[in-house]
Amino acid sequence: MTFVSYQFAVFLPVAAALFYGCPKRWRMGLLFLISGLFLVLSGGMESLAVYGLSALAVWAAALGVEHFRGDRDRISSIFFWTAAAALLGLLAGFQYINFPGYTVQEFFWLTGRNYEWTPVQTAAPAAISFYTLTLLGYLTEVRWGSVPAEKNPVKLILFGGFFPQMAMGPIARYELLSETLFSGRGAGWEEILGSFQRILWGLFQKLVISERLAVIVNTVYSDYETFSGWYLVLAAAAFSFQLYTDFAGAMDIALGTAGIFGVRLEENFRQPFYSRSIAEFWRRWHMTLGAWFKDFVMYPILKTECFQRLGSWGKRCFGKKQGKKIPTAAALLIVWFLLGLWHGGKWTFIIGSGLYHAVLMSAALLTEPLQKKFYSVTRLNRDNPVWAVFQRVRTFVLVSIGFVFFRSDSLKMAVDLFRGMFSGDTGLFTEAGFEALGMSAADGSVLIVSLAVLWAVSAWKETHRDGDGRPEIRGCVCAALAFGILLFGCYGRGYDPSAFIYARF
Amino acid sequence: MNRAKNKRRLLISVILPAAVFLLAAASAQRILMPKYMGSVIEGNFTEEYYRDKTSHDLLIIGNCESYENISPMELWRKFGITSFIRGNSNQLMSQSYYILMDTLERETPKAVLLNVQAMEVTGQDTEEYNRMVFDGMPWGQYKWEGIKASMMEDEHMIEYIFPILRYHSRWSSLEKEDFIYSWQEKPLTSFQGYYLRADVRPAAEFPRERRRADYTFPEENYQYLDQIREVCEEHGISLILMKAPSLYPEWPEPYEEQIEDYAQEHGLLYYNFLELMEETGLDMATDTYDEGLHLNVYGAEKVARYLGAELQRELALPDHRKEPETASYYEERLEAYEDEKTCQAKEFQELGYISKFYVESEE
Repeated sequence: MTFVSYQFAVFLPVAAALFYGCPKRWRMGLLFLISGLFLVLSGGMESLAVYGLSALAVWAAALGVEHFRGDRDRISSIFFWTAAAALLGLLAGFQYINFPGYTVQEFFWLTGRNYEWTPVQTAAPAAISFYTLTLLGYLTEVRWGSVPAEKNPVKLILFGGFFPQMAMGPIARYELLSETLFSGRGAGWEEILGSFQRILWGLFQKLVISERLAVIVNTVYSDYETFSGWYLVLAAAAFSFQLYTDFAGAMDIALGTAGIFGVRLEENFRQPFYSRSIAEFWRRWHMTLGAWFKDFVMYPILKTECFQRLGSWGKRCFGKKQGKKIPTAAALLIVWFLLGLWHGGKWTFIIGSGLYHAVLMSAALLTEPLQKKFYSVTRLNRDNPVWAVFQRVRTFVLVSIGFVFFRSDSLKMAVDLFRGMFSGDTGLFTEAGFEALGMSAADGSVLIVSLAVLWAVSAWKETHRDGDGRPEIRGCVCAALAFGILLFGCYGRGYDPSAFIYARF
Repeated sequence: MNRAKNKRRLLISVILPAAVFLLAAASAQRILMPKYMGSVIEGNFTEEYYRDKTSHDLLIIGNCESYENISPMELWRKFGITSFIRGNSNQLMSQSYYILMDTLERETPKAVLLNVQAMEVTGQDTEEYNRMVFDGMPWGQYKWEGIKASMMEDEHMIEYIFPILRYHSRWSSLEKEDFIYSWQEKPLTSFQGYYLRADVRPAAEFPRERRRADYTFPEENYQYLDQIREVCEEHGISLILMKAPSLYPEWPEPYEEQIEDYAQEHGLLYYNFLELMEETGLDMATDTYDEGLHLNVYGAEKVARYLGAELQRELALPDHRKEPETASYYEERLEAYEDEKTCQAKEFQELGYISKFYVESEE
């Protein structure tokens, strides 16, 4: 069962009816059972067993970590590292078993030889990448003493496995989620209406926009050797929007679903294509993942003795201002390597959603003096609207380049795609050329209109505080969205929208 | 005051938009449902049974071999037998059983004629055939059970309950007829469930089918055949088995033996029209419209003439031609039948094909 299945359309209202039909004190227990059932229906009993054991292990380890913290810190540390190693080991076992093979494959390609790794098929438990980070974050916070260890195992299992956020995030923080998750307060009808609107908007993004873009992307990428020029450029841009509407759509459904139960999840997207730099993009895209890596990887790395020394060396060699950026730039490479690796054991992920961005951000960081000089020489106003549009387009282009790696099966394919972009034009801008994209004119029109709607909503959100819509307007928007999805959504026979791109991570 | 205001807001914000949405969705569903008024008219046949308010002495069930090879109008004209064919493309044995059960909720025919070709069929070819069987059927226990019994792997019951979920993607291929017949009753496309074709395309050679190791009919089909027989017995209905004279798919000897054995074991009448070519006077050079797969109206009338005589002799099915109400209905349908036959024959003579069945494919 996924967010875009008929089963979920029945599951959610039944779950909500049960939730509001039972006394407040039982609601948390009910959410626990509902989440368990959701996991079984999504990933089977194996997924439930793996998650349940992982969460119980973390619950016990966190109690141990807290108990021995201070006087007997070594034992606390053993508890922490044992649980962390078990979690990461499990993740690696399921997700990275092919990483060495793919690494050899890419190495052979780089050295001009041919080798194709036959991947070992593993059935990873549902949502393992997401709940591993959620549980690891909690354990680390307990170790640091920033949150108390949870005594009640049911609460901890529910925290990591709350069904709207478990499959694709947002990656939860214990302190923020626990307040609304365990209270059983629920929501008023106006909040429920707002949450329902959010779910519909998520479905609209996924079923009306993302699935149509997928037609273009899949048509071109599945036969990329025969396409060239503008086709590959268009497919790259289309994939950026596809990934965004797929993932942001899933997040809207997740946040809306949680909202129906009165639970507040953290925002994961904030109009990322409005970003004027790569750094800003990552502050607006998959925000909880970025924040997790910043808090639990980046800062601890920067505090290590090795990086402190690197900072001192940098200051000596490049001056105080520039020198202190050296350890940050180095840490960025490590963090983004891990961030890319988290998406999967392939170098296309490590580069496409990792190192490539680290290089761009490090370059931006280290060239700050040059940028300042540029602005002072040209006397360009940073807030100039034309300049802002240019920066946004530039960021989009740079991000899309990264996503070409991300979407490719191998580095060779990515390089071939870039080469192909500059090798002639196969006539995209003709009727026959358009037809080659595998999309009818009618679907193309729906796509253009729905992208315009997406842009309008993003522009509105960029300038308005979310959640201030009047219920009367929300009701009308819900009706319009529901009708739009019903009619123009890509679902049912002939479509397979059930697989969200991020559900496989 | 506050409570009243809250209620008003709830009404405006939730109930009113929900009502508007439901109305729009219901209207859209009516428009998006296929109307089958083009070259594929068979999708109307299930629905047309429910529009016929007369009762029938003979119910004919089965797949396309049932609705393309016997003319109920000829059964009426020559013998005064009232009949209806409840057949659909690739109608499975399970579907024939549930259609029979559904029919029995409305009337009890004196005889049921079952075309047995579907006994060899193991599963549905395409989902579209299932939709043609069930879309036109009003909801009830047997529709539900029939769908469940024959649903393909990628089908969902909810798409039968709310057909807009299945047909929503038709928004880009809607035609004028979709709007016209959303609110207006469609003209009848069949003649008591019979698919009339007056064109001629002589029988041709068919590729030999691959030999199989085992020709035994699937156990599931035997179960449905047993259920059909038992329910007929319970209702005092005479069950007759038939194999239509379609030349393809092949009807090998092991199939024939199984049906003969079954008919003998249970004392059922069985007619294999492939072996009755001479008796019926069928000539596959002139009596088929698709090279021997199905009969045209001239062939279907020959089969009806033979069958009608047999049914009256064996089962003494009554002649209703003297009953004014029934006669009036059938005479009206017969007139339409003759008009359609003449019209198609004329067009075929002039063009060499019948445009309404070919125009779309030629485009």
